[in-house]
Amino acid sequence: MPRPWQRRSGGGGDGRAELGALLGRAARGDQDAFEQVYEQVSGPVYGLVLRVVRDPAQSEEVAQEVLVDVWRTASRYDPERGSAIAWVMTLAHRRAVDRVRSAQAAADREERVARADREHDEVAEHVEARLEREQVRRCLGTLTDLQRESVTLAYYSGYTYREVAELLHVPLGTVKTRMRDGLIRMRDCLGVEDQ
Amino acid sequence: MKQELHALVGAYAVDALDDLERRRFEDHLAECESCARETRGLREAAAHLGTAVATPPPARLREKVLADVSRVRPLPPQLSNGRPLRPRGTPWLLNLAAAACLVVAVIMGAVAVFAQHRYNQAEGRNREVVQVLSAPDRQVESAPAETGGTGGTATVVASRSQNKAIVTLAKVPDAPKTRTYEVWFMGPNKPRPAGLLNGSGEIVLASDLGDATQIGVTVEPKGGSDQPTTEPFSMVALPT
Repeated sequence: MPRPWQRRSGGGGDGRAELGALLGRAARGDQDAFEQVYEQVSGPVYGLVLRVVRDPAQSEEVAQEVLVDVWRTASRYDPERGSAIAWVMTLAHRRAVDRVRSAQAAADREERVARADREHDEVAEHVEARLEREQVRRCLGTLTDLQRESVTLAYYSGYTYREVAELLHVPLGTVKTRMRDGLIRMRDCLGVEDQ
Repeated sequence: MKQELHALVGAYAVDALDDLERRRFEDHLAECESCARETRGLREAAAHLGTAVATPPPARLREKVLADVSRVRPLPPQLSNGRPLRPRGTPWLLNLAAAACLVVAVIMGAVAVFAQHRYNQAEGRNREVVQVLSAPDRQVESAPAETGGTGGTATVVASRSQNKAIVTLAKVPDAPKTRTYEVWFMGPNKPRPAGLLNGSGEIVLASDLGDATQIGVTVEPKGGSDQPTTEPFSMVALPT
């Protein structure tokens, strides 16, 4: 079953328009279209930011910045260069990572890692995300331990690959390769279109 | 170097590069279609990791975002690689030919003047460098220059009596094409621009130490900035 943000045609069974088309309308200043964008992406954006930043109050702030940025820069989304949801998630991830890497947050990092595993399964179940979640979990399972740890420490905990190498006690070159190979495996397992 | 950069494609897709590496990689992407394609695929895969942790946000977020949106104007589309499009209907080829003739004439004249000027300038600059290096109160300070783990350093030779400082970088990679390193006087007041560098093996000769207590070096867009737009990757103390 296609996830709502991946629907190709304008208007699916539940009346949702395709995200890329909505972004196009938002770029022209259409606030109604943006409200529909919000319905589709606010959960994924907030969830990802919360996962990286951890603190709910800060996460809300960052998510707000990201979503306003989606509106402000909608004209910069280029369908030739990937899916609309990937564009939004890239904005969200970049902002979240910037927040945790800022000087003030640096002090909390040790603690974040300590909590990361504990909170892993405490994320509220969200109906729309469940299928996605199961598929991603299954695909993560096809990675080697080192590939999986390299990818998730970077993506979910916001570490640089240098920090990941340090944490896992492996050479830099190994981490670079594992991140790349791990993502390639994820891509192939998820059946992401080669754009 | 190309191979080494390309190996970072996975780390780039999950934002695991530091600022400088990220910019270098993005410059590389602009020239390498196969890397751009691979990056897109890996980004799509990474996005799934993101959507898999979707969580409903608090209801008030919607109100806040929509309130902001009603006050913020969307950016206009970016035109072909950021360059403004040429106005339609201009006989630009003719204009171009005429302009080219004029440019050639002007250049011929300018080259002669410029060469002399450059020579005088270089002479003058050498003299100033020697004056700083040989000043009795000169002080030499170095500090690590953290631009991606190459173990680089920034070195400053400064003299209060000459009111000048010489700044060099060693073992620091060249700035990416669209960036430059900018040297700043830093102290109790706003940072003041002191000069630009593209990498190791160049010097900045900066005048007017003023109340500065430190020299900072940042990464800036090509051409430099009026105020730092990134955190200094190196700070070197100035003599008091």
